[in-house]
Amino acid sequence: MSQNQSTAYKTVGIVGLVLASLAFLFSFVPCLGMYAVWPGVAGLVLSVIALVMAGRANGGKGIAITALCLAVVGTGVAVYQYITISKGVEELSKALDTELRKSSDSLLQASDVKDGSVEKSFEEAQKAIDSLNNAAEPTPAAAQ
Amino acid sequence: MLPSRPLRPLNKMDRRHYLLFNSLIAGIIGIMFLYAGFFASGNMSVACAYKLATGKECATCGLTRSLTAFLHGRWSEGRAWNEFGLPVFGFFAVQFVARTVMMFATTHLPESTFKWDGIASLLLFLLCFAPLIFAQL
Repeated sequence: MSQNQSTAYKTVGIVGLVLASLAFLFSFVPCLGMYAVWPGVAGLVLSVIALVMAGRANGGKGIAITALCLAVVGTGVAVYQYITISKGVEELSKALDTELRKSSDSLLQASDVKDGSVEKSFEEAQKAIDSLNNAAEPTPAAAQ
Repeated sequence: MLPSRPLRPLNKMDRRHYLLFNSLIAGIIGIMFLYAGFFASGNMSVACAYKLATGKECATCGLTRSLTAFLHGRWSEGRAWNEFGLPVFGFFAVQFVARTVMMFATTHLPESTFKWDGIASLLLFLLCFAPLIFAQL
């Protein structure tokens, strides 16, 4: 029982080391690396637990420290990848928004010009009709 | 000539922990192979954030399909899906076989196995993954 308790930190440390190694290795893979956050965080937690247990049991801390280092680096690189990708996506969506606004503005402007020309021609037609009416009907002063 | 030091075998506790280490890695790779070989199709494939955002494929796009093709023995199709698929598949295949062999051979392994295992695995990783890692930079 006591032997099991005294070596339990090693078992926890090895599980943490496996997860931390996976996080460390995969964090450098482009795009896919951001998913290494999950094994990285799990490895970080397990390695800290193993370190505390090893400290209480007065045992060797080599495995736990190795796991902790790998987990910290792996998680850091994975978080960096996640931030870079999300920033890129944000910038891309902003650029897309501005482009959409520009194109919609230019469309609106084009429709305004068209509307203006229609209004102008309508006004001109109205004026021509009015002048024709005026020419056909004699002015009250001329009639007198 | 230097006298050769006799190789000390792993002690019982170290053997147990090394067995746990190897079985965990072999298990994870085995699950990954099962996923890539039989379940990675349709809705279960990994979504690429880069492709969703830009519409262009990144260096890792098609890697799961490539692994699936290799696991089914379709080598040319696997290479066509992703040019870095073969070294990646090679890394995992070597690790899976090595871990499985070491799980059964733990009693015969010398004490220095930990150190050489770590160095060899890291070198193999660099050799197989370096082209993929530097492709996106």
